[in-house]
Amino acid sequence: MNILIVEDEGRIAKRTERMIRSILGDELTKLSICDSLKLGLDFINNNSIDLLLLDLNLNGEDGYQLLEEVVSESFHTIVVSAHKDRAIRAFEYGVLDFVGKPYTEERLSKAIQRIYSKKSLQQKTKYLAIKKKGKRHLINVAHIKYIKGAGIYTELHLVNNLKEIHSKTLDNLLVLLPDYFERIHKSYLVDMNRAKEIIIEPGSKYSLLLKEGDRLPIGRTRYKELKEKWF
Amino acid sequence: MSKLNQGDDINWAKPSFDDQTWEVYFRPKGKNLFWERMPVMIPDEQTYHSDNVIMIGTAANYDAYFDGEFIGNNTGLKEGSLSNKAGTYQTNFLIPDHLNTVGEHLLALRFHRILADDNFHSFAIIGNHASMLRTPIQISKFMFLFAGMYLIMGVYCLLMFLGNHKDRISLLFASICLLYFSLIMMEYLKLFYEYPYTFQSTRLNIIAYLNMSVAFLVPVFFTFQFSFPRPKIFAVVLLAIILGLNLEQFEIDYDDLARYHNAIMWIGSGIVVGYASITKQKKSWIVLGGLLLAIAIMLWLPQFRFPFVSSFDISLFVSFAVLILTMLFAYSLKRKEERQAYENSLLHSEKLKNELLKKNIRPHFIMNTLTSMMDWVEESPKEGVKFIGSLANEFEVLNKIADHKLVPIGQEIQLCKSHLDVMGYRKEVKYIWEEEGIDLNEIIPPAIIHTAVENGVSHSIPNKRGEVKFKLIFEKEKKYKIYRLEVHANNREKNTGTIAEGTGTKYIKSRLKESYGDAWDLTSNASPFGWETKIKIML
Repeated sequence: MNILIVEDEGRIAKRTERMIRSILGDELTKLSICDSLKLGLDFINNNSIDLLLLDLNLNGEDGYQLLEEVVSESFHTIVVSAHKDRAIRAFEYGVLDFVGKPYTEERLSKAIQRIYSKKSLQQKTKYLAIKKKGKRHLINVAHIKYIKGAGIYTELHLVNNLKEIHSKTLDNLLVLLPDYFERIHKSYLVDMNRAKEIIIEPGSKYSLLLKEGDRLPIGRTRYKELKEKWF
Repeated sequence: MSKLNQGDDINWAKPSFDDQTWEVYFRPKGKNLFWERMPVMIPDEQTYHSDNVIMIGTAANYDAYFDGEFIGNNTGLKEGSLSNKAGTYQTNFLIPDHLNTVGEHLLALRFHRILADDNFHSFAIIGNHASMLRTPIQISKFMFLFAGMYLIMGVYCLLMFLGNHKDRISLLFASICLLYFSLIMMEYLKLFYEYPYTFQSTRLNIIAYLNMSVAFLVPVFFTFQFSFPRPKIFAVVLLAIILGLNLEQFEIDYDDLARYHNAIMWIGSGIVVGYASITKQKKSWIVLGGLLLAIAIMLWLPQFRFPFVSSFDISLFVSFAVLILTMLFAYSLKRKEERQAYENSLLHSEKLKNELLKKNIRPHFIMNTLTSMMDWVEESPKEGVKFIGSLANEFEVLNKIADHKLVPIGQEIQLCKSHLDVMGYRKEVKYIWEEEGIDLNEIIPPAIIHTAVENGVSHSIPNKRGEVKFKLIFEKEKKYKIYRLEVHANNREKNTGTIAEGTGTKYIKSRLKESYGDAWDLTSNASPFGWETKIKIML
């Protein structure tokens, strides 16, 4: 795993680094530290990373600028900040976790484990940030009907029948999105509040009909679980 | 028509005497005797009274004859006595029963002036004895009511001023109230004090001067009340106009003089309050309304006639009462504003104190410090203990200075040093502190250099040796003293182009304003060695 720490306090950056090395062990492939917003942004633009650990107050500058930039990227972000009052807003923007300072190794470990777990915390993500022509837009999660995986990126299908591209993978998004988003197929994540019925077609093909009329395939292995849970 | 003649002859008292050759426009010369013959009417049957009196007012000693019969004099001596003591100005005489008949009668006055000035005049009024005494009081009682009101307000405002010598508007209002009080007392003195006629012109002069002072002070009061451009020049011009008129005082009738003074007062006040209304100053339209009402009363009342007192005087005093109430409204408004400003300043100081105390318990500071501290304790406990010591130091100094608006520079430097110690442990940067020319007797608002140091820590990249140097330099000149904080380091490039003034700079400015008003200057900019913050305080 390739990790970037953006932290302006030398001692704290070192501490985080030490802990991550201990938590991830051999899984860690690369770890970098930037001590300012600008350096952090430059680094992200020129390097590919899997996880960002971000402080929200950097040399008096507000790390939210960076946060809003990075949540549209493919990697996960964990906020490490003294400002615990800002946790709710950070979660709304789709961060993986919010670790308040001062923190212990256990707490940091728990945050990192979330990458692997599916739905551990109740999710509060309200917006998904996307980049369009270099500009950042926020998509309200409530406006998403379903999400289709398309290789290294995803397509967000919205209620107004528009389609937006997101840089995160279906797996990464699933961790961030609220519980009512269900994986019905290896390539589909659906807002189950919009599900109308399951249609069984000849040849034991299953599909899900949405209230809006969209018809999406259901994975053979997922049919039973889906039916028990939602119908 | 009343007629006068120089000379002395007891036959001139007789109604039958032919005074055709006598003069209507007569000016008495020197101290020689002269006579006046004045036809007077006892009104018709309906208004006839059995106890009629004649009131005579004049600026001379005299013997009075009614239809040729001696009825008395204003010196209290025997008929024909020449006294060197001035007689009363206004005196009532009973009309003998056998002469008290409806129709025309003749009043003859034998004058003897002991004070020969130009101010000779005379009048006589006939009326029922009781009502002659009662009626003037009936009307003037309202004036005394006003006078009492002015006296109390004047004394109250004077006490306010004595309690706070900077409170000039109270002094001004007190003066105006007390002047109006004096004006009414002087005007209606005639009703209860039988003064000698020589005092009459003194009294009128006093009234003229009181009127003149009021005419000057009322518009000036409004310039204090509202913001008005160049109030001093306005006051000087006003005074010049008033004094210019006053030089001519003795050529002009006293009532005319009062009219002039009043006109100046109303016009002057109108200009100031009008300006305030046009520029939409707070509640100025209410004051303008009061002013216009007062002017309307002054113009409207004289058309009514009041027995025994001049309706001009009444109109003046009633309009003054409205004016004073208007001013009282304005004054109370000003007081309220001042009280609010004072309360705000208290609140502001409290806020600054709060901000100072909050500095080190803000989550960014305390949580980062604690995180670093955990790390130090875990990794090298000995250093960790020193770190805790540094933090304790910073808290201790902060606690010491928090309650004061100004603190010794030594304490401020101690605060900066302990802060740099703490930051050194956190950032793992070597912060160096140097000072030059510091005078330990100087005092300074708390934590302002500390705040500049905080900014320096945030915005500096250490050199290759991992150092950032802070240097505080103090210089004192004749007109100002200056603190320069140099940060020797590379400046951190900002991610965003321009950012709004930080809370730190705001804090420094608020503190400087709290202690020095506007007599300071704060600059903060990049310099060849890094960053420089200059705090200049005028002396």
